[in-house]
Amino acid sequence: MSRAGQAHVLLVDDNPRGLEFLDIRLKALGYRTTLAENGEVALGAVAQDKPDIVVLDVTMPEMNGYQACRAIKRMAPKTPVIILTAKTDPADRFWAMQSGADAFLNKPIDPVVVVEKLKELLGAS
Amino acid sequence: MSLEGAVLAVVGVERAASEPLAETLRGAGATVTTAVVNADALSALSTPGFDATLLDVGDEPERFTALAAAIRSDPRTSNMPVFGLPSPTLAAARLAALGAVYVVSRGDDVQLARTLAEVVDQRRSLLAAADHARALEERLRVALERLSVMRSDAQTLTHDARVLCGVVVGFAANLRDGLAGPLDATQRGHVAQILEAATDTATMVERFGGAARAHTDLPSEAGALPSPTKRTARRTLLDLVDLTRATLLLFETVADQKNVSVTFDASEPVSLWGDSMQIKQVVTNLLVNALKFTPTGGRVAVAVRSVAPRGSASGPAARQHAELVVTDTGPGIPADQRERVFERGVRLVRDERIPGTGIGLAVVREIVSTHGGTARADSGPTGGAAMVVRLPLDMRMRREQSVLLVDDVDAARRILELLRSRRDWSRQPLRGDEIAVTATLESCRAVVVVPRGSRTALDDLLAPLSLHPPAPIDGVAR
Repeated sequence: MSRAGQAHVLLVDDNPRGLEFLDIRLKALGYRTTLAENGEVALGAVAQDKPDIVVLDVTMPEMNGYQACRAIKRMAPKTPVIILTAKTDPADRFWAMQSGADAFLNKPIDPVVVVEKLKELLGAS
Repeated sequence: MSLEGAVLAVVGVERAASEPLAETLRGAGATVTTAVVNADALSALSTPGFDATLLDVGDEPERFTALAAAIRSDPRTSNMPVFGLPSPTLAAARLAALGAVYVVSRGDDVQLARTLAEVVDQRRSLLAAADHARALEERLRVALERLSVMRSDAQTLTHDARVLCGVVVGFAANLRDGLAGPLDATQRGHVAQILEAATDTATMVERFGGAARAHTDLPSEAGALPSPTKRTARRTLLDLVDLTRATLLLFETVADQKNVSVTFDASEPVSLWGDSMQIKQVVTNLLVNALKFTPTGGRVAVAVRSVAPRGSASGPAARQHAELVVTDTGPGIPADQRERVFERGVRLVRDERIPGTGIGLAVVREIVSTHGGTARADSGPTGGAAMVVRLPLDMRMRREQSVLLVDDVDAARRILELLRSRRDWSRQPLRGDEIAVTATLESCRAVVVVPRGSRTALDDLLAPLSLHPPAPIDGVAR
């Protein structure tokens, strides 16, 4: 990826409001974004659109964020995954890392921090 | 000894032979059913409600063996006291085969009635106690179930509130960064307030979640009760003047609408070691009260200053304090009620028509106490209330010991430099930026340096101080 602004970000959250602010900000910064409302849809999007990076919520019905992360890493091991969740238990950080996530961030968070992390991971990949 | 109310069965080899005994028992107040062994006895005894059964075995205990076994094995009768009444010629030892516990000579009916009365009485007490225990057990089960629901509700609430705060912070940050168009200075100020309030709310909710988890943690065994949960403070060095001024901003609109003038008096920064969320809560609660009780056109005066120790005072009085005073021109608090208003749920009768819960001042006192300070109510110059909060400035008042963890080599080098050059803090003037570091260091029992990189870097850093790399402290490894 030569310019971060061309990167494609997949945002996964069952709550339509959950990552909307990030969607708006990323678009304003020149990123391409796709929204997925659950783990299943996210896996379809990873297979079809091959996003450069994924931002995942954890608490979702059917397939939670950790399960989705594990499946994404099986399909596209090099695609960075950021877990962005309101779950603050140390065990959650552990599960996130176990599932192969590249970063674990807690809501509420200043979106500037998320964008920084996104750039860092995109730069590394 | 009376057998009033006792329900008994007498089983004999023939009904007529048992009748005199039955009559004696009826005379003592019992309801007696007679039955014949190996005839109607089993069906008679299967009717629930007997307090005891008397087996009138005479000289033929063998004829009762099957019946006794049936009584013992049937759950409806297995707990029923069984009396064996042998003829005087029959050895008492043989009664053991019948499972009889009480042995009374066949000729002594008075003694029999007395023993029976005792047994029936005991049995009924035991049954009543068992019923009571079952009822208590059921209530406990329901309480535990509700506690578990509360625990899970609290967890859900904590999570969902953080999600919502995330939405607020996310959109407010977008506004702040001009993603919805440019903002003027006032608008930027408002957005900053929204961001701060949302972040504070998330922290508060998180603490609530932690407290709820601690409160609903049940002891694993009897006696091992969890210690009562206290407010725990997470302290940093804060400026009480800045914090109070920022909190006052939040009340500007309310004050304007009520036409109450709010003044703030503070001549210099007052730094203290405290939990900024909790101290903000103290200021907020005092302001809410002052604005609530001050009539239209009135005044609320807020002042923050540091108070020098009094004369030759020793102990806590000898420490320097930060003082926050909120004075209003409301009706004031009667002298005999000034202590009561700090109790949880207490409101003055006079204030009943003004909405409130009576918790605000109790929270103020709890927070101030955990910070080692005092909160009291006084009378202002116009007869209104003057609420006075004092917080110690002395860092050594901190109740919990802490470890400063430094994970940046440059920062570590600067701190160690400071440690080396200023061994005696009290005698040397400190630059402004050193004060915070000094304050932190003074309250720490250890500084743990965790350089990102090789171990040599740490040893090099510590060598000039003749220090050794720190040993792990309370599970904190370097």
